[in-house]
Order: sequence, then structure tokens, then C-alpha cells
Amino acid sequence: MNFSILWQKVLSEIEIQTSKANFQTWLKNSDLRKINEGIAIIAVSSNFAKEWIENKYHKLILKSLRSLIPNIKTIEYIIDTNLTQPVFKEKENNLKDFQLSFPEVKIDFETGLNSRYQFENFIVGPSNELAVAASLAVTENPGIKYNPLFVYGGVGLGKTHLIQATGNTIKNKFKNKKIKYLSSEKFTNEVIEAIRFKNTKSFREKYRNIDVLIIDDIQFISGKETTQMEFFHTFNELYGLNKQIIISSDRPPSALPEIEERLKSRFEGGMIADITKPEFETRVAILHQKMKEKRYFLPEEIVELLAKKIQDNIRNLEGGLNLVVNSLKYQKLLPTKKNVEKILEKIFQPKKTINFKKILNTVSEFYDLNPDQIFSKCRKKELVKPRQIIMYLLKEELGFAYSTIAEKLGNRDHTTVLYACQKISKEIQKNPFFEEEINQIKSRLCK
Amino acid sequence: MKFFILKENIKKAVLIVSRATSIGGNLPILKNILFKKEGDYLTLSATDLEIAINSWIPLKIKENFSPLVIPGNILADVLNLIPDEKIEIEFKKEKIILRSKNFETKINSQNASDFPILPKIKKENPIKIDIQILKNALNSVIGATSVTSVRSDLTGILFYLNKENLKFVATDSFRLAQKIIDKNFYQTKTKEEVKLLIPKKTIQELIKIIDLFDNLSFLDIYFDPNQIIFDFQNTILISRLINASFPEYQEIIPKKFDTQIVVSKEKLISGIKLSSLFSSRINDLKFKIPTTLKNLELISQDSISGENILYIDAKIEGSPQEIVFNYKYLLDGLKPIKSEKVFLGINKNSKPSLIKDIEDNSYIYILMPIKI
Repeated sequence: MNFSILWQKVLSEIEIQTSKANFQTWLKNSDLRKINEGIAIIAVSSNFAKEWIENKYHKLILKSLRSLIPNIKTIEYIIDTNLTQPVFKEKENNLKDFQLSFPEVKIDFETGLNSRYQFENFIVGPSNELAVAASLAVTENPGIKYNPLFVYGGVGLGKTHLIQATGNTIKNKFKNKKIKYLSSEKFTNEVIEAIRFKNTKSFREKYRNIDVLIIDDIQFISGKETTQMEFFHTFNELYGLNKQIIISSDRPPSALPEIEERLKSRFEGGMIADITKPEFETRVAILHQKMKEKRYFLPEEIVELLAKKIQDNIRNLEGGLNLVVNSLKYQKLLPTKKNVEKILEKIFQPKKTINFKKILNTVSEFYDLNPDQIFSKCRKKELVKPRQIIMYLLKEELGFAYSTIAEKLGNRDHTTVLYACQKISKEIQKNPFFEEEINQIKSRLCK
Repeated sequence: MKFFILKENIKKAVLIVSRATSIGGNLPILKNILFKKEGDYLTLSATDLEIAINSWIPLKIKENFSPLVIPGNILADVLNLIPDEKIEIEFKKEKIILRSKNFETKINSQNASDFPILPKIKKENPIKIDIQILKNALNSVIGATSVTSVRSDLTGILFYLNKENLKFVATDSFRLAQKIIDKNFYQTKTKEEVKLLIPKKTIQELIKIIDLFDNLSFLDIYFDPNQIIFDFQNTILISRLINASFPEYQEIIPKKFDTQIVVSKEKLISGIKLSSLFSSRINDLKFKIPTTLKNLELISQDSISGENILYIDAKIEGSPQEIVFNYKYLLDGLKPIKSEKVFLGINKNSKPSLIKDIEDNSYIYILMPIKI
């Protein structure tokens, strides 16, 4: 039996027999940690609590525990000051955990870097090992090894954290190096401004005196020819002088749409490293890191539950953690699996709004088709693929039976649907671009 | 060298200069005041190596004396305790003697050569500024500076002179206060933009010194890239400047608001004070704007002390919402407002909100909510 559920049962029994004040003061912040050869280990929050419980509640607890697990012989009490608050530790200046600050203020004026992003608080796992190793190599010898460094990966997987940490580390190691971090959007805006105020020359000067140029989310210069041209020249100049260039993107250079070939080939000239979705162990480690930073305290099983439930990206993982901690605090709930699962339902609710019609419309719109065409028997290539994707999504997202899907999409055979689903999932595994396509459709579905 | 002087004159100078002495620092000499003769003036100086204050007393005596260094607190106490209005002061070698009919005090000097040399600054291109307007501006923003010194740029007040006006801005990253001084209240020949970051402590001392000069209507400000001087004619305050750039704060100032509230300042302040009695340890106070948009509800709740709900009549436009602020930050922001009514512009989704005087646009206070 699960300890925390067991302990809650004991507590709820004791709660009836004690006054509320007493219960809150002494017993609420306690935890059953272990049962070993008939000895139950109970953690309490302070010396005072230990003294008090041993003298006043020991018999009650023992009786209650025995009624659930008969072979318990005795109880040992240990002290864990983290338990002072049931969910997290509050300190004197706990204000900062809740009080929001202006995001703009955290940014270093000269470099544009946010000092919050460091290697120390970046969790390394198999999903980002290569990118981290390459980044660390860059911090040793900026401009010499791996130039440019091109880091790509999906939303919220830590690209920005990694490239900013690289910048921050170089800044600390090489005091004289001029570092500039900016998003490609900001770069674009500066190009536009330079053209408008006719000072492209000083714009160029500014960028060509930089030792380490870090550009985040390069994909946003897609289709912006002048920006691309300016960037191309800046790139060449810096590269020629052995200055380090670090670029991040949501996809590999070859898959960047509407970006000139000559730029793509420049991007491919150095080191390309990807960051993929973190696996379970890394997610647990990330949660522990975040909890340390925010001084939260949650039982291990809850951490694992969170890591299991939230898989897609780190930002959501952090959001989920905040939600759970705050909900527990303000609804005054104990951190049990049941309570947490209930809270997490909120996050996953959006999926419920997806329905047959939405999938049909979203996919049709994505491929610029009329939804009616999907129902037709036509076997044109440009119709077959979207149709198969719809089948796949109906199966994956809504869990429809093959026969239901077949029926809904114009009375087809259920084996057709079966084949379609298999084909699409295989294609997703094989072809990253196709995967990206599907992800885009999925993200539209959630909107 | 000896001379007679009105006690009040020397007392005032000692009082002012003592503000820059450093008590309990590593360098004992900094507890002292330096006395020396400069032309027709007796000069008193003190410094804690962050700020320095010089004060001059005119003297019609030709005779010179070698500089003396006297503990500021002893001298101040002696001057406080003697009843005489007029006293004789004599500067001798290694000591200063104060006497009148009934008493004679000899205070020993420390080694004057140990006293730090005060920085020199070229007195060029002063900014002449209305002293009360300056004091008011500094008082309006000083509350928003950070108390911790982790981020040096947040421990100072931005002095931003531009073509249109002079701005004072302070932020601790949770809130930001800006006060604009209109061109009519200062004069300068400086053409280019000037951005200086003045330490909070300097500003605190400056405000206190201004209080001692109630008969003065203007003071001059001089600066170079590393230091700033506030010149009160017979007294100057010199301070180091913080070597950091103030955050790019223009982007922080919200231009749109989800909910706009106009409310009586007095009612709001007393309401916040009442509600704060039941706010929890994070100083949280909830503002609720009901769907009726008829009034503003202040809600505070603490598991230990109790709870409070308060309704304040207000003119409200926009959408209903609930938002939580740190009540101390709210009070800081409301304090400098002079009009009867204040404007609150509140934004959802963890975006900053704004407080300002409904009649006077020169002051704004922006603050971030507490996330719960």
C-alpha cells in the first residue's frame, strides 16, 4: 500500500479525535516515510512536534496504524524541517517566489543576456548531450572550434537556455570579449530601423565589432530578404575574423523554408546539434532543479507523476509544477497522487475540445482543401495524404475505432483506415519533416 | 589661530558634514571631520568613501593653521551640550579648543595625513534646479529602489536629462517609479542626453541635507562620468556614481489597460491599510473588480489572523477581474500622489499595472502583481 495514502487514512482518523488547532500544529505537517520489519518511520517537522507527538499521540497513531497494517510493532519519529509547510518551505524573503518582476529588467544591457540562464541550472540528458558538449567546447575556445554552432529543437526544450548559458559562460571567462545575444526578430527590426533612418553603415559597424554573436530563433528571418542579406554579410565578416557565431532554430538548416541556399550552407558549415524531447529521467531531474530554485517541496512520487504526465516540453513541465504547488497551497490539500491528478486534469482538458469536425476542418484548411473532397472516393495523391492524416488523428487523438472512422469518412473499409494509420505512424518515425508537419497540424488543433 | 563664532553656525556645519562620516567601518579615520583653512574660509569635510560632504564657514582671519582631524560625534555632542550662544574656537597644533566664560574643551586631533583626499571635480555646465521640486521628485521615486545590492543597477536612481525634461526613475524589478521634472524648474546649457545612476544612499542624504537648507531655492548639480556634486553654495555633497546601465525601462511602461479605475486616494489608502491587517506573510492583497463594475473590492485573507473584505466606490471601465498585489508596494506607489483621485490601470496575465495622479502626468508608478 502506498505510504502517503496510508498516512492520510491514519491522519483522517486522528483528526476526528483531536481539536483542529492541535491537529494543524502538530500532525498536519507529518509524513509516513517507511515501514521496515514492523517499525514505522514517521517524519515530523520539529523537535517540539516530535516531543509532543511521542507523548500525546503515540498510542493513537499506533492503534490507527495497526488497524490498517496489523504487524506494526512500534513507531520511530524523525525530524525533517522541510515539513514545516506541507508543500514547500517558506523563508523570510519568500516574497520573491510569488512577486512577479519586470522581465526586461533581468537582461544585461550590454550583451542582451539574461543571467538566469547558466550551465549550472541546465539539466543534461541524452536528449541534449551533444548540444551541451558542443556548447561547452565553444566556451573553451570561442570562434575556433565549432563555428558556427547551430542548435535546433522544438519549442520549450531549452535552446534559449543553452545558447544564453554559453554566452554567459564566455562572458565570465573572457572579460574582454564583446558578446551580443538577440532574437532574429530583433535583428530584423534593427535592420528595418537602420534602413529607415539611413544609418546602415553604423548598423554594420556595430555588428562587425562583436566577438560572439548569438541569434535566437533564426527561422523568423524566413522570407525577409533584406534581413537575410544583412545577416549574410555580418555572418561572413565575423566568420572571416574567427568570431564565434551561435544560432538556434526550431528545425535543421536544410528544413528552413524561404531562406537562401547560401545562408543555409553557411549554417551547415560548422557544428549542428539537436535537442530532442527529454526522456523520463531527465524530466525528473529538471523538476528537481526547478523545485530547488523555487524552494518547493513535493514527495518523490508526485514528481514522478508530473514527469510521466507532462512529456512534450520543459515549459509545460514547469507550468505543471507551478500549478500543482500553488493549487495544493491555496486549496489546502495534501500532496497526494489523487489530488495532483485532479489538478493536472486541468492542463489536459484542452484536448477534450478536439472533435471529428475540428480535425476534418483543420486538416482540410492546412492542405487547402474543401472538407467535402475528403469524403469523396477520389484517389488523387493530394487528397489521399490528408485523408490518411485525418484517419490517423482520429485514431490517435480521439481514440475512435477503425470501423467508426471508416464509416464517418464516407463508408470506407476499416482495413483502409488500419493501413492509413500504420502508414502515417511509420512515416512520422522515418521522416522528421513529416513529423514536423504533423506537429504543426496538432498544434493548430489545440488552438 | 582663534576666533569667536556663533555656536549655531559651527553646529549646523558639523551636523551636515557628520552625515558623511562612517561609523564602524574598517577605516577609523572616517569617523572624523577634517578642519582646514582655505582662503577666507574654514572648511569642514567628511567622507565614508562613497559620499563626501564639504562645508565652508567664512572667516576674516589671515592666520593659517595646519589641518586637524576631530571625531565628528564628540564635537557634535559638545556643541549640543554647551549652553553658550557665542564661543571661541582655537586651532592649535594637534588639538582644537572650544571655550567660553564657563568651560574649556580640548579635543585631540588624529593624524590629519591619514584623512582621505577628497575627489576634485570640474565645476562646468551646472544644472540649476529648484530645490523643493528636486526633493519632491526624489521622495517620489526613492521607495522603488532595491534594498539588496546584488544588482548594482537596481540600487540607484536614474538621473536622465534629455531635451524635453529631467527624469528620475527607480526600480527594484518588481515596481518602477518615474517622476518627470518640467523644464521650467531647471536650467542647463548641456545639450546632449545625460544618464547617471546615483546610489540610493546619496539620495537619502541629499534629501536630509535639503531639509537643512530651507532658505535656499536653487542648487547646482555638476557631474562627470564617475561622480556627481550637489552644490548648496556653502556646502557640497559629492557622490560616486554607479557604474552600470539602468534597465531599458521604456518597454515596461504599459500603454493599454484591461481595466481602468478612478478612485479616491484617501479611501484607497485607508482601505489598503485596513486590509493589510489580514494579509498573509507575502503581503498579498486581492483587488476584485466585480462584473457590475460598480465598486472595487479589496480582499485579504490570512489563515492565522482572519480576513477582511472592503468595498470602495470607484469609476470603473473595462473588464472585471481579480488581481493580487503586494500591499506595501501599493502604498509606496500611492504616497507621492497629491490629488484627491488616483488612476489605476490594471492588466491581466502577469502584465504590469500602473498607478498615477489623475491630474498630474509627471509621476507614474508601475507594478507587477503577485502570482497565486
